Amino acid sequence: MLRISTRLRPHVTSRVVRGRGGGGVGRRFQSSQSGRGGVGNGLLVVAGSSTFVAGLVGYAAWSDDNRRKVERGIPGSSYVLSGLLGPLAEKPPVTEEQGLLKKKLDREKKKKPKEVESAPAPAVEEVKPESAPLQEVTPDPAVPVDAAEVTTSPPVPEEKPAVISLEERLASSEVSQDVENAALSQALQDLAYQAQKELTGALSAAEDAARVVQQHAEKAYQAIDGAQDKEQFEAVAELAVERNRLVEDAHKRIAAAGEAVEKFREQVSEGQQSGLTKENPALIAAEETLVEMKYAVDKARGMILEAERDSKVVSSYKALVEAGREQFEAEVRSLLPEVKLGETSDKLTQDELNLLLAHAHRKVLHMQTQLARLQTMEHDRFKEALARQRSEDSQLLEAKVETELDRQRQQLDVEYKKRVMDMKEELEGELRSQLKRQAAAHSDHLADVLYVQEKDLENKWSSILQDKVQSEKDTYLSSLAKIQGQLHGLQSALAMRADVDKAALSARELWLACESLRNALRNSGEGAPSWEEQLKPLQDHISAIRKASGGDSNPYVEAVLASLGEDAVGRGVYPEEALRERFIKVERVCKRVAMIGDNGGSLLRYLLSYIQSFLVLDAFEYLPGSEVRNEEVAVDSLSIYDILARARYCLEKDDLCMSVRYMNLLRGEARNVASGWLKEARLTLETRQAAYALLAHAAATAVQAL
Amino acid sequence: MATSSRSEDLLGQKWDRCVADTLIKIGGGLTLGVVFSAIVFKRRPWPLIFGMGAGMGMGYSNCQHEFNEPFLVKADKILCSFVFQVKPKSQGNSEQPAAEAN
Repeated sequence: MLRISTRLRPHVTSRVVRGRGGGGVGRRFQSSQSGRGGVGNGLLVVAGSSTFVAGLVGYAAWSDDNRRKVERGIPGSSYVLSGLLGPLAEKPPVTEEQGLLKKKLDREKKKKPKEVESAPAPAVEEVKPESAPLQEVTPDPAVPVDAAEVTTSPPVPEEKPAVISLEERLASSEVSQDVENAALSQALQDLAYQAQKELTGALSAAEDAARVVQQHAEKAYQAIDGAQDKEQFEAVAELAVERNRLVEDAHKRIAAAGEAVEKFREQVSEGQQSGLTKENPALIAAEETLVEMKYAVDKARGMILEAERDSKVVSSYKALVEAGREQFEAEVRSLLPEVKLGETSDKLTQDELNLLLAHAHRKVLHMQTQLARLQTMEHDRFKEALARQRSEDSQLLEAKVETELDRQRQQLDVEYKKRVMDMKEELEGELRSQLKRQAAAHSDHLADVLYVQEKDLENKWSSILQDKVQSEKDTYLSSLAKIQGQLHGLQSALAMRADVDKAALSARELWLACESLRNALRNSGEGAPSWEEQLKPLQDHISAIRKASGGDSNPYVEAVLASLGEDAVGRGVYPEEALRERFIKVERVCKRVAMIGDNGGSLLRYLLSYIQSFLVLDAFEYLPGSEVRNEEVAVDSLSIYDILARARYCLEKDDLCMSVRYMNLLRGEARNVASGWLKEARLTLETRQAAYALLAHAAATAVQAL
Repeated sequence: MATSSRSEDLLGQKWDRCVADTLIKIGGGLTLGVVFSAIVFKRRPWPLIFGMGAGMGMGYSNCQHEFNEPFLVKADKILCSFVFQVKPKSQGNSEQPAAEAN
C-alpha cells in the first residue's frame, strides 16, 4: 500500500485520503446506525421493542390520562393508539351555570391548560402534534368553546435510518445529498411561503375578528348598559353575526395556517431526520421561521381567544343582564300575570303602576340590601377575585412567560443551531484545510522519507550490484582472457601452421619449379628436329623459381639464380644428349687438329694432324684406375687423344663434369674447336648445378616444412 | 644452312672457306693468267701457272692466316697496374674465353 501510494502524487494521495476519511467517517456513522447487529442481535432488538410497544399501549389503554400522556410524549403514537384503542374520548363540556364570576373564572382556568396545551412549546426534537382545526365555534356564547384537540396530525413518518448500502452511499452520497438538499430547500421554501401567506391571512382575519368582536362587545355593552333599544340590539345582533362569521373565518384561516405550519414542520423534521439533508443550513432558517410562524399562529389564536374571552365576558354580562331582566320580567309577571311588559298598552293602570312601583321599590330595597351585602362582600370578593385574578394573571403571565421563554428558547435553540452549523461549517472547512495541509505535509514527508529510503536502498543495492557485476565481470574477463589466450595460441599455432603450410606450399612450389628446371634441363625439347630448336629459354622456369621462392626474399635462391648466365636464362641450355652428340663431332675434329698447339700451325701441320687422326686408334675403353680413384694426374702428360678418350669415356659414363674437366685440359686448336662445346657444356653444368642446388634447397625447405 | 656458330664447325667452315677461296684465287689467277697469257704473254702457260700458283699461294696464305687467327695476340690496350687489386682490364679480348693469359 505504501509502495502504491508513493507512486501516486501527493495531491492524489491526499484526495484519496480525504475521500477515504470522509467516506470512512460517513460510513462509520452510517454503519453505526445500520449495522446494529447480526441476526441474533436483530432478534433481540425486535423482541425488546415489541415488548416496549405493548407495554406502552397497555399503559395508554389503562386510562385516558395515560393515553394523553403517551400521546403527548411519543409523537405519532396518537395514530397508533387511536387505531388500536379507538379514538380518544373528548372531555365533556362544562355547561352548568354557576355564578357569573365563578363561571368565568372556571372557564378561564379550563382555558389555560388548553392554552398551555395549545401553547407553542414544541422543542424541535420532540415534535408535539399541534391542534389542527378547531371545531366550529358555536354561536352560543354560553357554550365555551373548547378546543377539541383532535390530534389528527398525521403521524410524523418515522424516518427509519436510511439503510443505504455502503456502496450506494459511497457512490451517490455527494450527489444524492446535493439533490436532497436542493429538494429540501425548495420544499421548505415553498412551504414557508405558503405558511407565511396563510399566516398573514390568518393574522389579518384574526385581527379583523378581534376587532369586530371588540366592537360587538362595546356595542353590546352599550346596548345592555344603555337603553335597551331594539335597534341597538339588532345592530348588536348583526355585529354578532358578523363577528361569528369573522371568528369562524379567522378560525378557519388559523387552522389553515396551522396546517401549513404543520406541514412545514413536518418537512423540516423530515429534512432533519433524513441523514442526507441533516446539515442543510436551510433547515435552521426553516426552523427559525417555523418558530416564528408558530408563534404567530398562536398569537393569532390567542388574539381570537382573548377577543372571544372579552366577548364571552360581554356575552356573559349580557346573559346576566338578560337573565336579570327575565327574572325581573318573571317577577313582574308573577305579580302581574296579565301584564306583559312592553306588549299591550302603553299606559299601565295605577294599581299596576303602584304595584310596579312597590315591587320596584322593594326590588330596589332588595337590590340595595343585596348591593350592601355585595359591597361588604365586595371587598372580600374583590380581594379574592383580585387574588384569583392575580393568580390567573400570574398563571397567564407564567404561561406567557413560558411561551415567551419557549419562543426564546426555540429562538436560542435555532440560533444555537445556526451558530453550531456555522461553526461546524467553519470548523469543518478549517479541519479540511488542516487535513489537507496535514495530508500534504504527510505526503511530502512520506515523499521525502521514501526518497531518502529509495536513495539508501539504491545505494546499497547499487553497491551490491556493482560488486556482483564486478565479480561477474572478473570471472567473465578471466574466462575471456583464458579464451583469448587460447584463441591467441590457436591463432599463433594456426598462423604458424599457416606459415608452415605456406612455406611448405612455397617449398613445394619451389621444388616443383626446380624440378621443372631440372626436367627442362634434362628433357628439354624432346622431339625437336634439331638441337638448336631443343633450346628452350629457361626464363619461365627461372621466374617461376623466383616466384616460388617468394620473390627476391630468398638470398640463396637469388644468388643461385644470379649465377646463371644470361645465355642460359635467355637462350636455354643444351641437354646432355645434345652435348653428347655434339661431342662426337668435336672429338673427331679435335682429333684432326690434335697436332696444332697453342701457337697455331701451318696448313701442313693441319694436314699432318689430319692424317695422324686416321692412324691413332681409340686409347682405351676404361679409364686407368688411378684416375678412377681420383689420384693426382700429371695433366701435362696427357695428349689430346688421351684427353679426348678420357672425356669420351666420362661422357659415356654420363659424367659431363669430368668430361668437361678433361676437355678443359685441351690446348691449342683442339681447345678452340672444343671451346663451343665446352662453353655449352659448362653452361649446362652450371645450370644443372644451379638447378640441383635449388632443388636441394627446395627439398630442404620442403623437409623443413614437413 | 647458315654458318653454324659452333666452334667445331668453325674449322670446317674455315676449311671450306679456305678451299673456296683458294679455288677462287686459283681460278682468278688462272683467269688472270689466261688473260695475261693471252694478251700479254702470248699464250704462254706460265701466267696460268703463275696465276694458279699465285692464286694457290694467296689462298694458302689466307688459309693459313685464317687458321692462325685465333692464336694471334691482339693487344689493343693492355693495362697493367701494380695496385694489389690487380684487375687487368683489357678491351677487345672478348673472343678469348679460354685464354688464360689475358
